Amino acid sequence: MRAARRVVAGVLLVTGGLLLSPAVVPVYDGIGQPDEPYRYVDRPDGAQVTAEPTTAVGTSPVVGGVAQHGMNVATKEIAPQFSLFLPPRALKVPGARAVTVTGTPQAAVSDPPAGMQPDGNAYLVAFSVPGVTLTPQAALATVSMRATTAEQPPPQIHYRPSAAEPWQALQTARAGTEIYATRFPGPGQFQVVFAPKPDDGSSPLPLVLVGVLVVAAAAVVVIRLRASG
Amino acid sequence: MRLAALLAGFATAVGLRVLVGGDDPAGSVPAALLFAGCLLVLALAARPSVPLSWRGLSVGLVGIAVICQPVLVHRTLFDWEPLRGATGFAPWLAAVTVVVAAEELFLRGALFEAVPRPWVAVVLGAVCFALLHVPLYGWHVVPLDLAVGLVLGGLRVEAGTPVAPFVAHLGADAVGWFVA
Repeated sequence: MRAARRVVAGVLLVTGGLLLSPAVVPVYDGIGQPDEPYRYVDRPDGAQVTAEPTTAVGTSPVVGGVAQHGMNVATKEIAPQFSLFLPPRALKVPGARAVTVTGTPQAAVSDPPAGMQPDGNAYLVAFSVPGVTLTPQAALATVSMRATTAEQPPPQIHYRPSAAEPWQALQTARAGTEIYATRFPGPGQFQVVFAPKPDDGSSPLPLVLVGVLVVAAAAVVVIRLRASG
Repeated sequence: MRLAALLAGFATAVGLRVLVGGDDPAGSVPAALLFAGCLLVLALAARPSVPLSWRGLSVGLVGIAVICQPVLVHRTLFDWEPLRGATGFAPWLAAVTVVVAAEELFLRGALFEAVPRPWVAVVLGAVCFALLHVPLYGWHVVPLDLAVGLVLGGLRVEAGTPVAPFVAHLGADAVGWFVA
């Protein structure tokens, strides 16, 4: 009976701690977990089998036609494959008492920006209410997307309001090992893209230079050996 | 004097971890292993008693349930997500085992024995446990880690050995891999 009471006390203690520490990863040793493999909507050949990618969702009340709360929504992968930060009062929302924003994973686009290689899923950002527009506060809104690789040179995030409109390249900054961030221009489709790699070996000049250096070094060695002999 | 030396050594170990970890102290395995090495040296110098017993193991297993139950209930009811896969788990657990052993040998071994009253030792160990995570995750982790630290200290008192909090700590971390 005494032991049972102690167990209950322990559970209550941890429950209280959890309630006071929202969104804490329950790992108590202090070593961060490595990123899980990228979750594709449409898994390419050779990619690891994973759970389905998740959707980022957040809701804010609307007062006076303006979304009141800031929203920091992220998908649930480790690390999140998509996240969106909207400051308070960043959205004008006509005729509604609440607005929900979603970032939904989609298969990588089949019509990427010209000459670019799409990387990972596309994400479609949408609002639950039609006619939502951005206020000046939305200048601080940020989109972060995880690439499938940390390869450099870095990729860029591209955006289009709808599939019928052309892609726009967004100024993209590296925010983590393979996490990239950009401003939030509005609802629509976001895709990480890599520029094609330059054709390695297109010029034989480096090999020729190395060859010349090796021959020159060998000649110097031979000459010095003969001189000393 | 011994207590002051242990606390100073502990603060140094945390500081070194932050320095070596750079921008990502929580994700740096070298920094974690250096931290664990410092704690192990301190703990071994103090020569804590670590009696191995079935009671230590069984109390530790109960501790896993106590620590994980609220997290699992919360996750199941409010934040359901399929469990994470086991890819990468083994090397991660190996590093975690070293760190957990070092933390428990120090906090619930050497430090615990350096304090004359058990309840003071439990509280001091919990405070140190919570504070060591602040540079890694931020101040918002303090309530949860303080609570878990108190439970781990309670397990130490209940079992009479640091083996119990070691088992509970390691088990909770392992569960955390799959549900975090």
